[in-house]
Amino acid sequence: MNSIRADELFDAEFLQSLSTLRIIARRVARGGRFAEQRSVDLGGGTEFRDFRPYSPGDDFRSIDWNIYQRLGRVVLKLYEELEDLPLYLLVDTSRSLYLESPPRARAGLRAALALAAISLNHHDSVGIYPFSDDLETLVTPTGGKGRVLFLADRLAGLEPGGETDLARSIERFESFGLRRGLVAVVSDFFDPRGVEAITESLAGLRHRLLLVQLVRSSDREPPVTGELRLIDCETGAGEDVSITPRVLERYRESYDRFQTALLDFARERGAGWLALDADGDVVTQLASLFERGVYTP
Amino acid sequence: MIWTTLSPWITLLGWLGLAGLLFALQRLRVRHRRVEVVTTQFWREALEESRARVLTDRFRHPWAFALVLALVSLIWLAVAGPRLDTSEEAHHVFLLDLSAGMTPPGKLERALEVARERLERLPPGSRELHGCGADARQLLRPDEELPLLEERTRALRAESVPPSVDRVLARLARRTLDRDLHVVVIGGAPVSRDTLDGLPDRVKVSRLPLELETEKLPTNHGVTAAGLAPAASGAPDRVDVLFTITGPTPEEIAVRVELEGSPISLDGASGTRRGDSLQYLVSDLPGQGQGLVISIDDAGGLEVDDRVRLVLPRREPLRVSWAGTRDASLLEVLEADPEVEVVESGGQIEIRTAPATRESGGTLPALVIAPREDREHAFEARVPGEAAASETAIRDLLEELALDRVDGALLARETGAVISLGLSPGEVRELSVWQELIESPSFRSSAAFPLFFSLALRWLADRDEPLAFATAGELPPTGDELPLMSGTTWLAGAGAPFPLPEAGSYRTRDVEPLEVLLTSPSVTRDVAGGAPGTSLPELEPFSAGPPILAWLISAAMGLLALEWWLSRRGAIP
Repeated sequence: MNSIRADELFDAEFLQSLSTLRIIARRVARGGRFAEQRSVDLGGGTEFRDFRPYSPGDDFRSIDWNIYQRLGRVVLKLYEELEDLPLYLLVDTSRSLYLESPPRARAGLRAALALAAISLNHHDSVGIYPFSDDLETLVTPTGGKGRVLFLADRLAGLEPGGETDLARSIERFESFGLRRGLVAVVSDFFDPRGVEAITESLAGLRHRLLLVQLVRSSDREPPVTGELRLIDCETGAGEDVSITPRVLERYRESYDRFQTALLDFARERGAGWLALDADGDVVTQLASLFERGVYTP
Repeated sequence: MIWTTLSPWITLLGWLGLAGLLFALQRLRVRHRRVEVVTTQFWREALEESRARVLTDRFRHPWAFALVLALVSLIWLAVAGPRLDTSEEAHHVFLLDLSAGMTPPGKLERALEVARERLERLPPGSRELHGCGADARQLLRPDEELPLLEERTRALRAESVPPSVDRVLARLARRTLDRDLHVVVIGGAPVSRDTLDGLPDRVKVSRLPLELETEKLPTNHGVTAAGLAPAASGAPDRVDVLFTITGPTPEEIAVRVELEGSPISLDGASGTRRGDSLQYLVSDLPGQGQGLVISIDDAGGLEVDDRVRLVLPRREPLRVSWAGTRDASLLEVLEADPEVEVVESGGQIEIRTAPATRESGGTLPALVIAPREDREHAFEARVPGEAAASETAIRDLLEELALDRVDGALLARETGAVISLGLSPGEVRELSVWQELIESPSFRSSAAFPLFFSLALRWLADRDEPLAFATAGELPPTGDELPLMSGTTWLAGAGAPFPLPEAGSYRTRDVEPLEVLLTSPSVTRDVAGGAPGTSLPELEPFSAGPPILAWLISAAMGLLALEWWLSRRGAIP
């Protein structure tokens, strides 16, 4: 298990990059942000008005993720009730996030903080809810630009959890009865119960949904050979595997089915999906999305 | 006991080699490297992809199935006991020699052992075993199981008889054959060329070697022939005995001849060498029904052929009593016959002449010299128990009494009557002759006169000369069925002559003693060397055909290695 030191997780360089990210957001906002069609309480619902291309600095919460997924283009839906759209960060802290080196949790926590920073910059509240086999409240929804460091500090204190049980965690989250917002699930989505358990549990969420999947190239192309006894770091279950080309081929097919299932769910649900390379710079990847309006996973 | 076809050393070394190989493979057994991963769900699905978890699911991996099926099939076939055996097409008959040649210790036991080994490897229904001793008996029928053979052979022993395999083989050849017949001779019994040549083409004969170190004796001598004859000296109450000793050095063998236990000197006996035999003639032994034993000292040889016992015949004169006037010419003829004694009383045969010719009701066989008017025929014979005379019977009687040498035409002219022979039934044997014929000068002076009367007396006496001996394993010399009693058991055939039992002492139906002798040159010679008769091809010590079982197991191991290699490469699940 690879632990993450707080000073390593949110070092000065990263925090500086967050500032850049927020600047990018603010610049765009001053330069013609669509002035946030803060529809005055349209009765609690949303009413679609129009699309327009995403401009750097636009609130990512307005992104029409369906179009993004179909076309790879980032466009905004102009009906968003932008005011009071709290961001609920469900951060995966299960063991799988902490196994590798560097652990995916590093990228996950950074992505969470980056998204939190943007939301805070847009004067929206952010709540942090880490989960593994269950969900807990780390930070209740809070706002204010100055809360970034506070959130960083809280995120850095997270400890590795156990097995992933997203269904129970979502159930727990729903039980909080929070105001409708945007739920960003930052996870590798490796649930021992399978992708069906994930999609079934997320399908019932009454919030808007953004899936931030922490990926690695080794997920699809595992760098393993020979005769192995693979131990699931979360369940402890072992599988004796003789790594052969045929087995690797079937593995990739299984992984692709998993990915396809996630994407299909996101599309059908109207949820957003981001695949962040855990080995790459999180802010750069997010900035690329926000600046270019196109994100190619 | 032989456990494997391979030698013990090769078996052991091979086993050690396999054990070493398996040990190395065990050492090289796959050791899985333990690796902790973020999730195994994809690996699990990848592995389960290759498993057909549902019976009704589509059939996967047909080639892997074919490979495993081939492997299992080979193993199962090996378990099933494969046999590439064209001999199933042939029927196998085993002839076990039970003659005197099998009497050396251990020889018969070894023969039974090799017989069992062969029989075990043949399917039931295609094999049978016969024991060839004094008679041939079936020890195992085609439809019987081998344990029955164990019971039947538990008390089996070799018999003091000459080999009978040749005779049994000839009889087998007369079977109606619907498939090939393979006859296997077990033991050293000879088979003649004539017998082999007379076999159908579908019959093959071979010999199963016993592989005994002591199958052949270093040397052997035996009494191979014995015979009796009337004394050449002419003494009516004496007999001459002829016997033969066979072996490599018969002149060096000490011979003893004992008459009722008293030794007979052979100093005067002449020995004649004939090949590997030495023939002895002992002359003028008294013919009084004594037992004569001929034995040799042959240390190290077969014992059963070292001794024979004969019962000498009784050479007693025929006692003839005379009732009536004694004809001088006839009396002269009788007195000249050394085997005839004219007595006053107590005769075995009676001669009746006038005036006693009309007497009847006598119990003795009689020669009656009767007047012509008292008899229809010049010569009349009466025999008890016979039906009306047939032409054949009368002709036989003519020869037996030498009447065919009588000049009937001359006698007819002299007597003025037809000279004829009549035959009719009577209570006892009787032969009548016209008085006129006796008195006929031409008849008296003919050579037929004394001959007729000598033969007539013998015919009237109807003596059955008891058999001095018989030869074991051969048909009775009389050609008739010869019921014998051994102890309290009757030995008899089913109304037909049958070969005599093994050598020993018996009694006939008339409670006469009869010695059955083992006088067989083939037995005496065979046990110490080559047997007369045709040599037969020998069977291999054991031939079960090609090592199919080994091939199957080797092929199974090859497929197993292939399956392991393919699975390592991931080519098969």
